[in-house]
Amino acid sequence: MARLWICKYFENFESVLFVNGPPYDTLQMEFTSNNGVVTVSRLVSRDKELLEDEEGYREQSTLLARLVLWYESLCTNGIFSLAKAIEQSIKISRLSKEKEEVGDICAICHEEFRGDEVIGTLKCKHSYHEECIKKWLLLKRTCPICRAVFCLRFT
Amino acid sequence: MVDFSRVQKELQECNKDINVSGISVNPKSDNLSNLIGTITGPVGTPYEGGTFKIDIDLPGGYPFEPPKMKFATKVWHPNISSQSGAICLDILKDQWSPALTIKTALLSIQALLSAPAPDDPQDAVVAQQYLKDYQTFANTARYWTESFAKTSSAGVEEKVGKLAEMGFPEALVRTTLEAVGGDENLALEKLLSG
Repeated sequence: MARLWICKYFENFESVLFVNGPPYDTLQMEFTSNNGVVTVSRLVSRDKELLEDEEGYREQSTLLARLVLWYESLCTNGIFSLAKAIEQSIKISRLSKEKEEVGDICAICHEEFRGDEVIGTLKCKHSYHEECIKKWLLLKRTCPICRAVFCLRFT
Repeated sequence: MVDFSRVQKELQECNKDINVSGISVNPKSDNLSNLIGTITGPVGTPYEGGTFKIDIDLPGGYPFEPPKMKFATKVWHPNISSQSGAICLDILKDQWSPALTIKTALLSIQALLSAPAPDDPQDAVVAQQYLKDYQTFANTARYWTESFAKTSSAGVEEKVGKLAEMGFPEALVRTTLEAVGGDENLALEKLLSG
């Protein structure tokens, strides 16, 4: 049986397949599968009790279980790698003393960019330390400053 | 592991313009992951004149995870639990971004005091009252501000002086005022019955 935490936000579920997200309204989903086909799936609360309205969510949880299996198969077959996809959505550049970004502050760690550091720039043109933005993108695919959403591409 | 270097910078930055913003953040102990924030009630709201303390716990993943915040001062507001002080605010949950700071989160909470969202309540009783009987809501909110969020020493000293003048021992007046959350009338009632 597979178990994962998912987040319930209003009527939408967002999976936290990649890394555990912030601890809000988390539910646990349990499912079993046979040869890539979801057989049983159910949603339980944090303390392992069946949800009151579990019945109503069954279709959604089965769909989510299918997505989990699909994602896992992509990863195991080497078709998709989250780290690689993130790498490709950032433009990496090394700062030199003359670059205009030097002296700006990284919105994630609040340290100034120095003349010899590697920064990562997103498509919306916002820059962060490479390490800082990679850490965030593992959790959520949005720009911390402008909330632009990024879709990761398969290689 | 909390990024304490960033937290340190945030504290310095926030306390620099404390006179302008009315927002301060201070460590609860030596440990920088437990903090106390203070915001002033917005002018023109039932919270005006109050000073509200907010308990801040920084989770291990901060700033990649949102700070945990709840009111330590009792407050009557549709999006804040009148029992636990829990706050219903999107940026403290799924809308958190590491570009936000403790100060911007406190500013958002201050804005929430000005603009309640009764359709997405934290405290159903308060939200119902807000929607059905705004006047009673405003009176209760004002009364709670008066009772729990006004602990400015000047106000307290004035009340102590008044009650002591009536002939009650000063020490007793102080403990009684504290017990009723600073409300002068409640304190008088208690002193008279006690």
